[in-house]
Amino acid sequence: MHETRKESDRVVYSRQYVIYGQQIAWQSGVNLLHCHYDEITIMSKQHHYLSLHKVTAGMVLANNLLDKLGHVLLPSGTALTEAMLTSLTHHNIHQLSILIDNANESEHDYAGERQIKLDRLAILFRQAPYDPPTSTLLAYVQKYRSGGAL
Amino acid sequence: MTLFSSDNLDIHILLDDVIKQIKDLPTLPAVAQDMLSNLDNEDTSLEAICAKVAEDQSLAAKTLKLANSSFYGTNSKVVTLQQAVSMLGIKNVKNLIRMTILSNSFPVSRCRGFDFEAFWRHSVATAICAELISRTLHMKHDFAFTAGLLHDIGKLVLVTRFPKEYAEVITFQARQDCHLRDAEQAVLGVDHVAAGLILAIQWQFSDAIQDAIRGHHDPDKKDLNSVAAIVHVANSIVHALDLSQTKNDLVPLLSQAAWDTLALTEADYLSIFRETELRFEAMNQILL
Repeated sequence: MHETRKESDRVVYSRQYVIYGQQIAWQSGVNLLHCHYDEITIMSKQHHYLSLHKVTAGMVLANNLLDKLGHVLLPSGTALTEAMLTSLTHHNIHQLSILIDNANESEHDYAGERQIKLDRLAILFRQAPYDPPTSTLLAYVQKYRSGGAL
Repeated sequence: MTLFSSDNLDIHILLDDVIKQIKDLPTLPAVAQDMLSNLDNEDTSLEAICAKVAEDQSLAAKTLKLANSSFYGTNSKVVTLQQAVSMLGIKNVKNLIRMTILSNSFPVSRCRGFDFEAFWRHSVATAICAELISRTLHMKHDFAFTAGLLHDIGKLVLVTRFPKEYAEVITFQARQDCHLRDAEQAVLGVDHVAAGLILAIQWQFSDAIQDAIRGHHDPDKKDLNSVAAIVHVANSIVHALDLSQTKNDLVPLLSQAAWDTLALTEADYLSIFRETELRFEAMNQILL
């Protein structure tokens, strides 16, 4: 049903989650929207409010955009297009909550931080080799620090 | 302790000295005694807790700070103590009171090489981790938190009452790269387990807490409350997660029997690691 998966639909959630949005159907002037995600997991999203005229295509919605009745016009995670922005100007919408795009930077920090924590394990467990269960604990913490726990 | 040479014999301290020093410690205020020995009584009313918190300025400030911390993520600002206490819950406020009482009872003293902040970070993190383990096992949480908080209390006794001697212990430990308890036994002849137990008896801590202090390094001892096994494992986890942030920290060996007693799965441990770090972060910002 949702075979079409394009790189342009890529939506970046928080630091670690990359989610592929599916086939966003947008009919100009009509609030019809079909959007599906394989998985929506939001860990910690940083966002800020921007007035509509400052929002450019490609920015990502941090929260669901609702109409007066609470219907979802655009779900969080939507990468905004020019067509959407044009349409929003007709809906008396003045500002949007936009995801702060520091994914690349954070990912880099994150990898560095992770490596430091992994290296630190060698010091904390420096009297290796260990027998179980101490070795088991070490294996679990290594897995946790490598991101296996997410 | 045959492992290490006993060239430090001249500064050995006697258990009797420790007992004498502990007897000289100020007795705990009635409130504190009640909080630490009467763990099973959860009937205390919200008003009673509020009244106790209100008596102590610094405690009141900490309570409000914790309630307003991002961990509890409220939208509106918590202003009154009543709001804060009802939001945090009686259990959390009691734990906060316990932590404050303890840090007040042992003011920072001068002991070269002993990092009081790291000590408290380790104690609070162990408390949090022990509570999470006992929650995963569907046991009584309150118990485990306090046991984790108090397990190393003997170190405070030794450091504050014998600062000069304890500085030698720390030097010895750094030189030999051994566990602190081995260094204590080699240098002082008395370790923090023995000192902690004497204090626990003197201050009438409950049996479970006494068992946690006695058994946190030897959970295989007979007739110990299962909380000893919990604190034993929590202690190693907290060392492994590096939460005390001590430069030459060393993870203590785990007992197979204690590990088997808990019988937690890998998934349990991974989620305990995560939750411990999150909660510790919140507490750390407020208390330390």
